[in-house]
Amino acid sequence: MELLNIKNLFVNAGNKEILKGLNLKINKGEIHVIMGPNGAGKSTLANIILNNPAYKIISGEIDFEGENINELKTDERARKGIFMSFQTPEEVPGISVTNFLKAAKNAKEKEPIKIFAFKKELEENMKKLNMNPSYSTRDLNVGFSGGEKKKNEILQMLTLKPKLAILDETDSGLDVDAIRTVSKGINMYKNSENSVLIITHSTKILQELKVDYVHILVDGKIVKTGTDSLASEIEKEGYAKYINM
Amino acid sequence: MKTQLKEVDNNIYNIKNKDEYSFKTVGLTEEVIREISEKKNEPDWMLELRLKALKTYNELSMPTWGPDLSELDMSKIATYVKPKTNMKKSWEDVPEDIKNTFDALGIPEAEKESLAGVGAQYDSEIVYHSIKEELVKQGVIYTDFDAAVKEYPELVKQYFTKCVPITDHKFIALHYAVWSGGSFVYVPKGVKVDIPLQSYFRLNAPGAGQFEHTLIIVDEGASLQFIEGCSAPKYNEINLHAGCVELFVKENGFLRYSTIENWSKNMMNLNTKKVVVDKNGTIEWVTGSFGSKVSMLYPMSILNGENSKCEFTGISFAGKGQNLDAGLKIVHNAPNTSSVVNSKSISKDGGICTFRSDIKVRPRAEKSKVSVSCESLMLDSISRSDTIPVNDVQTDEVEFSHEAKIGKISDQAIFYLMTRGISEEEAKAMIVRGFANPISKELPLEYAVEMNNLINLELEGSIG
Amino acid sequence: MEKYILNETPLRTANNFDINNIEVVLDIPKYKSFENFNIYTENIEKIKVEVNQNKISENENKIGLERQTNYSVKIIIPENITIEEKIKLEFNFDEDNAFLVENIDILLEKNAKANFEIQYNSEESFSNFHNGQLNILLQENAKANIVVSNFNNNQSDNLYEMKNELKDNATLKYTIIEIGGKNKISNYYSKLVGENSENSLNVIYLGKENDVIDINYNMETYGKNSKAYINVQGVLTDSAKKNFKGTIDFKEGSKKAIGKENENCILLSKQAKSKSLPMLLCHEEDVEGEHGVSSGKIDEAKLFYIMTKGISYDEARKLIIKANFNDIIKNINNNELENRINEKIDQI
Repeated sequence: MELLNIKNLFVNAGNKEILKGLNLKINKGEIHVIMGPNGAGKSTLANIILNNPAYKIISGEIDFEGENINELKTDERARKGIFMSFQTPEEVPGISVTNFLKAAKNAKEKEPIKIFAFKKELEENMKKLNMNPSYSTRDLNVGFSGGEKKKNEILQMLTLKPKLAILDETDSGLDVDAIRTVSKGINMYKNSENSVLIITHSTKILQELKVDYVHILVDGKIVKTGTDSLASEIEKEGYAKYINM
Repeated sequence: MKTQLKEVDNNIYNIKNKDEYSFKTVGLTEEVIREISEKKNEPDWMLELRLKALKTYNELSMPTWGPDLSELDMSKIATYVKPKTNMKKSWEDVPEDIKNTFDALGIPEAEKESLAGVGAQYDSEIVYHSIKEELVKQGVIYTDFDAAVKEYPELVKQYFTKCVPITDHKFIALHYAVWSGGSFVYVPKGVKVDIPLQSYFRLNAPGAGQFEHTLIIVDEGASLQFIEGCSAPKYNEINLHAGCVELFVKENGFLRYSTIENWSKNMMNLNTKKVVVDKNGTIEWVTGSFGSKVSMLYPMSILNGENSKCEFTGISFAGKGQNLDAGLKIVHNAPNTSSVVNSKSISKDGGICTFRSDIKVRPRAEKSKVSVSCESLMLDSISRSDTIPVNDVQTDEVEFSHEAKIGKISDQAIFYLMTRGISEEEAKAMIVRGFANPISKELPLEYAVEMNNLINLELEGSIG
Repeated sequence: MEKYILNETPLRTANNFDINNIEVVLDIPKYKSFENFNIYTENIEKIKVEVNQNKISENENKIGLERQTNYSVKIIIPENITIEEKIKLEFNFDEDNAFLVENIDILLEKNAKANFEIQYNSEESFSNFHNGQLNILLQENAKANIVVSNFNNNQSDNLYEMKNELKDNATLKYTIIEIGGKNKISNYYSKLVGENSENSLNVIYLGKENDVIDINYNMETYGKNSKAYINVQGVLTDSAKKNFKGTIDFKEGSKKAIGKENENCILLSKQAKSKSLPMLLCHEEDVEGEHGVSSGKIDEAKLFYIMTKGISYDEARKLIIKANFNDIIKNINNNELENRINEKIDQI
């Protein structure tokens, strides 16, 4: 079953062309990985799927569950079940992690959430992610270390249970233990009905995951698609042979 | 961004009772002042003080800076409006319509739940005052100011005008000429009042002025939290508030003075507040300003004793037609004193917020510390936000730092919240509430809720 | 001797805060001519220079003192011309040339680039009076680097008004060395009318004895993406008194403008007085503005660190002051000037 289908997508950041005819199809239950050199457009892809106002679609189409979502606002896309773990999560003073997640959950669910069950789930998830429980009452991302910010993104993913989770360099800047925690979070979330799109520079995060496809993104286009062996190849040899194609 | 200019019409604050009174004076002449004094049956010294203040008022000129006050016509302001009731000690005895107003504002309910005492002023006079019995036994005095003049003449004479002199500025002279109502608090040595006292000021009469005088003495080693709330229904005429708050914190004393001000948008709020803090004493100001057409309000802290401290936490929110000129003054006048200032403002729909301050470190205030932080949020480009801080350092051994920031809600922060399914409107409101959170969390719960409601009310329909 | 009220801030605050203007007693000498002006450039054929000694009366100015000029210099850098060298303008006071009220007008046409160094010197001990004006206009894409140094002796009065206007993509780097003179009253007013225009102002001041320093800087952003920076570093000793009034004024329409302002004042004596008023005025939502000011004693931890290396207290103090000034001084890129500034610091 098709979940996300991107057709011949051209995207600009300001006046600069970033994505230049990108195609990508993700089915339910799959884990996709996108690798590529700096500046290839990896983060742009993640951000345009959620309609970041800093980027603009010039042409092409993004379909989600068979419906064109080009005109949908960011929050509408999120409520349809698309999630993005940010590379640098925003600090928002004055809103606690718990209250923020409650608001997000309430925005998505039709029925008001049950506070007790919600809190219990949150506590359990935090425990599994090795997060200090005190973080739930702290202001959203304010003063969090890089690692805690990323774990907080995974925590949000587990709470909101999206259909498609896009992880934009969630592993970058993390130590080995934290990467393992993030992988664990992904495995906790993953089932046959949902999908994951991982944007990464390294294969460490992939080791404990069952990856279906690996795509190489160079200069705004996917130039090669393969399986996890392609990721290992890149790890060893770099992108050189794909850059001058 | 689309901006709908929607007049906020909140039922609770906008209850208008019939303009009924037992006595009313209009304008500002010697006859008017003699009449007020006579009605109050005051001692002679008070009448003399009033007349002296009137003379000072006439001698002083209008400020040459700050918001435009030309709409204010003192000859039209009702300087004294005596409600059709006397001071009551029980809510049951307060006339029905006045009681209903305070009921709607949640005053008697708050008293039951979380206050140690309540005063309620309606137009020019306090109509209700109460204090918990155990505090009375400990010697705490909490009464209306008119009663204090008669019942505690020595205490009143010792402190009245000693913190804020008649000659301070034009509108304080006006205040002393026509003052009426307000609260008097005395907390004896070593007594700690754990739950707050609250005075609520309601101005109902159109075109009237409110000139209450509040005097609080926190004696050595004592502590007190005092909350002041103000509101009024909206009229077309200009109303005037020129109250005065005189505070004394003695050695090792502690006072937290919190204000939630939601005057209607026809109000000129020209209020004066000042505290003198002795050795090791602490003053904490917590202020939320939402209402009034024009505000000029700069609470002043004089740190007269060694190791005395001042903390100031305040927020202003100016919407359409509002010019809120607010800030503070601090004088460091002794060694090792410290002050921490955290001020925020939000401007929208053409509203003007100005942060204005003057912080002085006198030559004798060695080893003092000052830290000031101001943040302003602009919600559109028809509004204004100005920061005008004067920092006056008169000796070398100080640490003085001042920071200010101005800007809008970050697009990326809005995007981040929206990726979690939250609508743009709610995302913006969340960020604004978060911006105000450091102030609202300093308030008692029901006031924090009230403040959040006021923010939501102000934002309603204006962003999205 | 007469009392004057000068240098009013762009926006008034309460009178009793005592900063809206400065009250000074000035002994303004009788009008006299001035001869000691030099211009040094190897590119005289590429630029236009006009010098004259006409008397022009003028009342309207930001400092607020009536002026009758005795000198004027006008320099034009024509379109597309780049002058790499520093064009140096020097005004030297002596006993016969102790009165100077000059106008300097500098115009850079489109795409022109130039560097200027303007110096005022009076080494000897006599009192002189200076009330100057420096006006700069940068047309589209013009770039200028201006260094103004006041090395007048410590009995002189120095009033100085600087005005400039920046068109699209114009860049102005401005450095003021405010060292000499007893009364130093200066006013700087910059209009960033052009899109992407950028003005960065760097200032060093030094106050000693009974010096009075009143500096009043105002930058207004009009153009989209315009950038206004004010960076002031100062030292006060003895009974010197300083007022710093710095304003960044974001006008409506200056979307994405950035304004930053900071002032740092080191106090070396109990009697020194430092007042600052860093104003941010904002009438546009989409801007980024911030200011920070700090005053206080020299950093004790740094002093201790340096002294543990065997350096005396006095030397360590001077080192720290020089370090504070360092970013600004290095940017001037002029050894002679650097040495002169260091010499003055050593005399503290």
